[in-house]
Amino acid sequence: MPQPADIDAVQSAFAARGYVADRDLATAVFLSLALGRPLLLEGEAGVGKTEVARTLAAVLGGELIRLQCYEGLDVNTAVYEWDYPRQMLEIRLLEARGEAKSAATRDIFSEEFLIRRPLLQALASHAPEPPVLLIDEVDRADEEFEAFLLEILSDFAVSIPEIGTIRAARPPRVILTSNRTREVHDALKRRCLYHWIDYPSAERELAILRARLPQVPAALAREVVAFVQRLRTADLTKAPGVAETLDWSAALLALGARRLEPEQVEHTLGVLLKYQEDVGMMRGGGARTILDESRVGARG
Amino acid sequence: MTSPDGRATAEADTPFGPVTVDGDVLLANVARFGRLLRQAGMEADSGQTAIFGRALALLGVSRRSDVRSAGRAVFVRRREDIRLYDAAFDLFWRRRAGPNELSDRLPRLRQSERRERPADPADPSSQAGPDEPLAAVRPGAASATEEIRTADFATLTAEEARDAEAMLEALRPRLPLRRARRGRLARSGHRPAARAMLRRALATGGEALRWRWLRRTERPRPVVLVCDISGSMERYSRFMLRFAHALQRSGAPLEVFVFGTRLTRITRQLRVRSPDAALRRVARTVVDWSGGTRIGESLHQLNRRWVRRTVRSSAIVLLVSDGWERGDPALLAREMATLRRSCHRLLWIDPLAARPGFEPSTVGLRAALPHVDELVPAATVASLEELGHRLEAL
Repeated sequence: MPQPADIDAVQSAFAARGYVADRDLATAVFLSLALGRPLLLEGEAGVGKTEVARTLAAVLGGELIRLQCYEGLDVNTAVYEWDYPRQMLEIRLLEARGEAKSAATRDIFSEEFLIRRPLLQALASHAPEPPVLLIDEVDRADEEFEAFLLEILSDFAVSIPEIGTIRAARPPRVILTSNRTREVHDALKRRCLYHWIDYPSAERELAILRARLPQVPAALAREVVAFVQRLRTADLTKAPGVAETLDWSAALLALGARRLEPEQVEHTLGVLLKYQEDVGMMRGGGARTILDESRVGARG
Repeated sequence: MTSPDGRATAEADTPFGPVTVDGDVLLANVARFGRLLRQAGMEADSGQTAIFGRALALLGVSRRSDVRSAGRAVFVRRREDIRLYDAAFDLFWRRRAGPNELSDRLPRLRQSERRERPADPADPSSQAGPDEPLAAVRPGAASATEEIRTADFATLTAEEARDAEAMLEALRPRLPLRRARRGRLARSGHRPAARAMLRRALATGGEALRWRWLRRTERPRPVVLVCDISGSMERYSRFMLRFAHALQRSGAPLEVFVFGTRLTRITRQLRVRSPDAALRRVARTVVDWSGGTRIGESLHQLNRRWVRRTVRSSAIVLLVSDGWERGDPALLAREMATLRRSCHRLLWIDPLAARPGFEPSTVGLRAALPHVDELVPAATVASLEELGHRLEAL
């Protein structure tokens, strides 16, 4: 599919693929496509940041190339690396054939021996539709890598000493995500459009749940959403994200639940809450209170 | 999705000019909006303004909410700025009169972003005379210097306090280091550098003649200083903040928080060269100077809001307090346990612990002690110097 023509087109294309985006997010995505700028998405874990990239790739029909960041990530794992064992073999073969002398090093440092890591894949892609490059959890990479990323995002080119500069024929669409475990450097932010993804409203969360898991009974879906929304206002170490809502609904579905029962809620809390303190707090009657409150709220 | 603002807009209603986009009017208004954002304290550079102009050319200006979202995507760079941006946008929207009128209203806009301001900020540097240069430690007065170094902060006269501050300023703490994941090439090390070795082997016809190794490297370990600034700590906290500033200048990745009844992050305020200026900035930010203490409550805020963003598991946390707790000691114990689990070392720095015959008798300290790696007495320049030099080995 060609690039969406306006914000509404983005919104409906996303909806058609099961991603319920609010207009704010759709605007940011549309502008990022139209202006050719990377989009930096921040938000709590599990609000659907990564999913934006996945959906965008599906909408545009481009390949999704994902670079998961972690501390110590370096050029060798992010951009390219030479395939040393194969180069070694090649040298031995040339020797055995007695051609080692005549073979120039450039035969060995040719694209054939190049291992393309995500960033190079994204730049060197010749697909008709440029790929979507997802740089996931950029806050986990160290600052040195961030500086390098900055360089790539400004000219969409890398230079490999043995080969030369590889420049993207058409720059990939870039989505960066951050969980905010630390602040991303301002210089990098300056290159990007920014959008903060919040927890969805009850209405939108229900729409997401219905779009993702249509087999969940309507009554259960409403109760699940009301419960999770109420739970987010409790004083938790880590409030459950949309991902947790979906996981929990799937779990309840697998257990054959039709309505939320206090006991079942307590048994399945581990799917929603990921910290022992939180689970402990909810086990001691907390879950029951929230369940009651969410029912009153839903009726009122 | 419904958009309450999505009405077909009449001419006078759009913030960026008439509905039929006149390029010049639009650009002028975009630039003016950028200026307003800058006045409101956001970093809106000309590049962003240009991008915003292009975005509006694409979107048109008929839907106010779209213009708002577009500007948000372009100008906002952190979540905290979203509210400020929205306020500025509303202001621009409502009042499209002269730019002068706008800037008159700005100070109020900026203030509404902050919480209530201190009635009278107890400026810790005001006693020291913030504008006069710090008296240098007198040369030749070695014994007097030594006396000040080892005297309890609480017993210093105003002049001695200035000398003590100068000494703290000269303090160069030794940075704690932690092992880094990346290695450095060397002739010996702890694991072979296959990549480099094979690369070199090309020169010798594929034979790896010389072994290359990766040696362990180290990076500075983050330090977090959480300082009690309640009434009972009044005589100590200003020195502790000088110490924090010395740490900051030493180059360690440092986070600083202060608390009395609530927690305030002052990391950014400390990031100026002059310690006096830094402390003045801190005094302007903090609202609960020399008041009561709720350590448990404050640590709760630290654990919830900041630990995962700023403390990180490799950090050394220095908690400075005398343990006078007015809140619930059970909460304090719980929060200390959580904090202990999320950092590398947790040290309780207590100025009272240096006194002869000290017993951990305050409620807060008794609740916290089981979760602390070490209780460090620190009430003198000498003890802070020692602490600064010991950080490395923690």
